[in-house]
Amino acid sequence: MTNDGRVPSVVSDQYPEPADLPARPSHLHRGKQSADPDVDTLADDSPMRLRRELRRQAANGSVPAVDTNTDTAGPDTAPGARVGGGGRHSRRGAQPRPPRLDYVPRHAISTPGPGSVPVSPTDVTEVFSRVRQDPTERPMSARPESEPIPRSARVEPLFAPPPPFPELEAPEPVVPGKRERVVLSQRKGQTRPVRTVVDVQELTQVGEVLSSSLIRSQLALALRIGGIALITLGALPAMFVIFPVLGRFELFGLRLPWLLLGVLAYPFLLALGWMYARSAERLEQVFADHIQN
Amino acid sequence: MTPAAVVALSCIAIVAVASTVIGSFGVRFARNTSDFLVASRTVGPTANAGAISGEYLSAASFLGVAGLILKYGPDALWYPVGFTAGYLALLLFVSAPLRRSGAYTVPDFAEFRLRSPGVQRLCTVFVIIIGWMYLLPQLQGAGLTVATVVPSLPAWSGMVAAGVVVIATVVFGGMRSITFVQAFQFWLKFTALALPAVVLLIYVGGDHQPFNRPAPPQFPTDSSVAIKTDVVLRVTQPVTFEANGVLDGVQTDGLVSWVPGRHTVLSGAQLNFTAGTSVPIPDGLPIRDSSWLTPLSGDSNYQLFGIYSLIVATFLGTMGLPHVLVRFYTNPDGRATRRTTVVVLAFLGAFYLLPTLLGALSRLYVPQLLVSNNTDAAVLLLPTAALGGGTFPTLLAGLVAAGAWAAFLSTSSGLVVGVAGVLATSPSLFPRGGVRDFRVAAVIAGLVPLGLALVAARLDFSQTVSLAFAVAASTFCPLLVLGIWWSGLTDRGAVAGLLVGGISSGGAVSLSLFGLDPGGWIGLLLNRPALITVPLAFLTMTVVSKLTRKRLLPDVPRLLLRLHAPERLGLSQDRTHRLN
Repeated sequence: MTNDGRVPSVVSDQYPEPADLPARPSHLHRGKQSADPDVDTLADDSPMRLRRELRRQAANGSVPAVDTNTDTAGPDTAPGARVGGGGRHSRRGAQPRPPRLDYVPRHAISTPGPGSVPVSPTDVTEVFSRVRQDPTERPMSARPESEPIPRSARVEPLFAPPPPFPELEAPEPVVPGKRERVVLSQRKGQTRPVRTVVDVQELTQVGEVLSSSLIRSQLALALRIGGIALITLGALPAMFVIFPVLGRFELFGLRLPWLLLGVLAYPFLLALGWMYARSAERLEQVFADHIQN
Repeated sequence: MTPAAVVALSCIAIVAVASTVIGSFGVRFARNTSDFLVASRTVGPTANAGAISGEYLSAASFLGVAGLILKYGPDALWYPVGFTAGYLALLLFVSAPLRRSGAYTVPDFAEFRLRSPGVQRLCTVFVIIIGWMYLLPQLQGAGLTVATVVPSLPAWSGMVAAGVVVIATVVFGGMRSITFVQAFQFWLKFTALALPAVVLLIYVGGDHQPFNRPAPPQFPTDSSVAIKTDVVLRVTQPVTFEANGVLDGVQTDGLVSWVPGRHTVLSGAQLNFTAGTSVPIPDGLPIRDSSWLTPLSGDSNYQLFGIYSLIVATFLGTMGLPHVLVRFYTNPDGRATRRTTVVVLAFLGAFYLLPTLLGALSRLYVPQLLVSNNTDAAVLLLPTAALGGGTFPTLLAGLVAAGAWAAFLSTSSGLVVGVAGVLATSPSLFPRGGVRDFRVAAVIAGLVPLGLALVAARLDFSQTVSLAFAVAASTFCPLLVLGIWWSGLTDRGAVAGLLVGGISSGGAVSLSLFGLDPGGWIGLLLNRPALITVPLAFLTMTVVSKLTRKRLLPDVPRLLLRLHAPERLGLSQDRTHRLN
């Protein structure tokens, strides 16, 4: 971590901040206020770069021209539209709103929302109720069933699985402050899937650019952090051979090799791991936000 | 049997019984109250990290690290650092994508990524080899623990007892499924080392003799040392002691005076030293305390190569160990897997401070272990050696013995389950793959390493374990890393890389395991092959994949996307297929 608190120099070096793009209010990003403006811009550079890349490819004709700005206020929008606040992801002309802490994105719940499987044409009556105390908590059912492991090969092959989520199936008493969504009628018309999600799911060229860019940025992050660990720790034996005086140097009553390898190596590895987990989560967040807007 | 032996044996028995009972209770508990899958998905990062650390910290960590520090000084610190750093590599390159693949063993992953039964079968073979190699020092550790706390019992009795307990636990309990048993064993192990460490720090404080003396360590009390393997000892100043056995080729019985130099002692000799005598040190180890304190000070010219090879093996080998990957499956998603791994890094770091401290202190209090080359017993003997034979030190020693038993019990159960799991699910061996087959497989998975443990040479535990790391790093690390991050991996490339890495590293380490050590560069390469074999395996896998590019699966990008995209996007295959 550098002095000014920027953690992933990892990302910032790779994607320099483009000067021509407007600064974005940080509250639109994950609903989290950040004291350090760098943190958000760092994380946001990647999709901007992606967009530019896509637009460039579209201009070259290598990718079918895709309107990546259907419902966003991109850099090509008239300046006036941005006056009301809001960045790329806000509705045009909308007033800025404070982030809602209890907001659960529709796609985070496994309801058939836009971008998912079209619902069956029969009458549907569904009741969903969820309680969220902690705004940072992830929704229970956010993880979709990962598919191809046969039941028998799961974690516990020896036991039959009891019924899932009994507590979710039982109707709960209504508590004030609880968020509910009630759908009582058949859906009218065709569901309109979000374009980018479908792109990514079907791995059209656009989707492939998006997903391979996610993989590349994650790999670059992992290689950098791994490289820091390997070079720092790997330099020690050579240093002890080249400069034998280091091996006899005492600090806090301990010989330097004992202090470095016996004590300090562990917090060092922990800090690297923590930095990595945070940055990798952020990259995923940016990817997800990007393709869902 | 002395009272100390009774206390220690009772502690061991309590741990063994308690683990089995908690395990079988836990099975029933999990069955009756909630869906096991749901329960396991709600395991938080901290609890799951406790379970992972509990399963990972084996006899090699609990006993072996302190023993190696007693022998080699700071050079041995690379073992615990490497064991911890392996989890960083796992976090960076494997954990979240592997969780998203839904595979929880390497053969499963190979099937997912390459859809090749051949690669899957080959992976199964290597899982079994690595698992058995890793089980070996665990069972030997059990033998050593029993033989140390009850000197009248032979080592094989401990090995057999441990083997039987482990097999019985797996066959009847399925202990692995119970996360909190493993977490409990982590905290037991932590306490069993932390309490002696704190007590020793308070009791000894700054009151010990200085470490930094330009002389060999001295026997703190009158010591009797039984030599079990032939050894060459070096002394730097004249030493007089009583001996019974063949010394320097002469049958001796009575007082002996050694002049500075090398002296050979054959196995079966009994040496009695009085307090204050300088300790003769086996050839090849740092002799003076001052040189023991500094890194890379031994006689060997090859230390640097050895250390780098060890770094490669431990950094990259952890991700390939059979009992490590399974545990990550109990996390709800890839993000929680990452967080769990970060907590594991914290737990392991905190734990390894303790054997480091105890290993350094054992240089002052139990240096006689250097003569008999039995340094793995250092942690077990340290409490009574430093604090005397009162009630409290005896109880402390019992606690340490119980912790050691917990160490290899949890690791061995995890390994036996892992090996039995791949055995039972491989269609060629067990076509039906039911619970009965799993139990038969568990018995096989436990009995074979038990037989090996009785005949194989006993190296230091941490060294045997690092051999298993070397094989894992040369086979599964390239497969996982390239499979997750490189779309160009083909099944032919994977097979070629696995074979080249596995045969080169596996051949080298089996020669060392059966006691062949020609010395020099060849001996070093047999002992520490990773620095050569890991790059070789990566290279083979890449080159052969490029040559067989035609065999690439058409939907590789989709597979890779599934490994890397966050779960909440719902890009798993079933949804995608329904859309099409």
